[in-house]
Amino acid sequence: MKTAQELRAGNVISFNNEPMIVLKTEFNKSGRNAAVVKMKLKGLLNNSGTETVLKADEKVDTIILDRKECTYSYFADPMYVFMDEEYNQYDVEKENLGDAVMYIVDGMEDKCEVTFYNEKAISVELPTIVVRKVEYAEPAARGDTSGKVTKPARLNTGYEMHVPAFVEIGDSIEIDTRTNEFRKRVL
Amino acid sequence: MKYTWDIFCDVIDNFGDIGVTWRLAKEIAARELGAVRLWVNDFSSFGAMLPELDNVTSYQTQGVSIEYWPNKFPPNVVPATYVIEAFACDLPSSYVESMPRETKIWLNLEYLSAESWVESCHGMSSGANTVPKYFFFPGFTPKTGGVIVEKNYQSRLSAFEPSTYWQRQGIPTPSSNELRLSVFTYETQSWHATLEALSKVSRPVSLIVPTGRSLNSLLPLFTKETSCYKYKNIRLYTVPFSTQEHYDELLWSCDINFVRGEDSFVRAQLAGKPFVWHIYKQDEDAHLDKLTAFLDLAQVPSCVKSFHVAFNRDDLQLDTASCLFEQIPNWLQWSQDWQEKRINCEDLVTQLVKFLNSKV
Repeated sequence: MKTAQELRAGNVISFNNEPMIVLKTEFNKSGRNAAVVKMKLKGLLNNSGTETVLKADEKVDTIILDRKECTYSYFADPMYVFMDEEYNQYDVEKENLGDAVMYIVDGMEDKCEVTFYNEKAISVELPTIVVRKVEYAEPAARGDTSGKVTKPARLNTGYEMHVPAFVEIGDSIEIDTRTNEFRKRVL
Repeated sequence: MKYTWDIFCDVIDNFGDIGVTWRLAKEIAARELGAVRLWVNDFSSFGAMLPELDNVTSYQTQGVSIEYWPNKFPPNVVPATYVIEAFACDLPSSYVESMPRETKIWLNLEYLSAESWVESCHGMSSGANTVPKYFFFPGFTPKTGGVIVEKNYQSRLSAFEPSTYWQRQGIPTPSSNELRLSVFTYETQSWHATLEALSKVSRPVSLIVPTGRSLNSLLPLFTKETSCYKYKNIRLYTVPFSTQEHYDELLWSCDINFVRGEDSFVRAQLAGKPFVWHIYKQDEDAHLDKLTAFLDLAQVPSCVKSFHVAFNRDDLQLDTASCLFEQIPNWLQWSQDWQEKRINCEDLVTQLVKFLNSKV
């Protein structure tokens, strides 16, 4: 249990008997007014968003979720299957993958963090940096290596993103999965 | 369709909490919106404005059932359709357990504030409860819940004759150029400069002070006379602590009103007379944010703002006080304009009912 004013973005709480992640908290207090905390929440099971306001000293059930390191194994429509070191397999729904789905590709070796609630895999977190191949991009603009001019490119995952103009088909690039932005070209 | 209402008031201190909830309960009853119970855990503060509460634990008046809220709450109380916890008080656990069977909406009625964050929290759903719960914030903008204005307020005000008030109190009717002030404040050093400035206004001045904490700061500065107290050209008359209706009449009868807390602060605004708000002091001067939010939102004249800030910081100087009393005509004009806005805005009970209807 935590009080509402102790909650921070990233905490997971039980709200209406559902696990919800705290996206944002806003503490307000003045004069004799009871301190209140306004919160934005997102359901971990269904991604539904909600806003609520609580008394700052109101007790809230917090949830410590289990996490396990896994690698992506295969896609068994409509589930993505991940596997831990002991070869246990876990199905994750596409919508629970969030942005991670943009970087899922057969044969990827990235170590992923799979989060569990009541022994059910509910989300997957990729490493901060992943490397993916550019499957298609417009030809490079001659002489521009500054990286300031960008162009669309399609990764081997099917995801389209903006990359600097000097990136070419077949290049491997580093992507920051927190911001979904190009980081650098790698050999 | 009429519903039942339970309003819970945990009296922290003084009269602000009970003043607001009592006024709200009466107005809900007066509009015949259903049976109203007001649960109060301290009858001593309440008794100051309703002496009939002496030696009783239950009393019915003006359409409201007033019930004593004991530490050990009776387990067999059937909760109302609408439950209002005033100022974030904690409801009895046995009562909360019974609410899902009876209660449609549970509201936390908060303190009045002009701060901008209030708008974003007003009407918000609160937590995950077995009964839908919402925060309801009184305020001064259309995105808040307004203030309590009785349906019959204007007709009472129009029909009122100040001379009847003075007669009843046994206080001389003011002379034609007299400046008469009502004083209902907490203790403050700021009275030194205020009295000094008032002594220079070249008009007779009188203070009308309901018995209570204001006198702790004022009386040591005055000399006792036969029927009043005196400081230079200023006379001070004490009056008994009164009902809310009689306090309204005091505010209507004076030229300037010094008020405190929440209920009297709102009543001073509705009176359309210049007023000074002595806000309840909080740790780390949190009350000053609330005060300046109001002064800024209401766009009070600059001398009024300077006086308020200094008075509430207990460091009022003579020049700031003198400046205020030189600007009474401007101050009065602002007060009348502000009164009109408050009376023409949708009042709290009307908004409350609309809100509840939209959620049921």
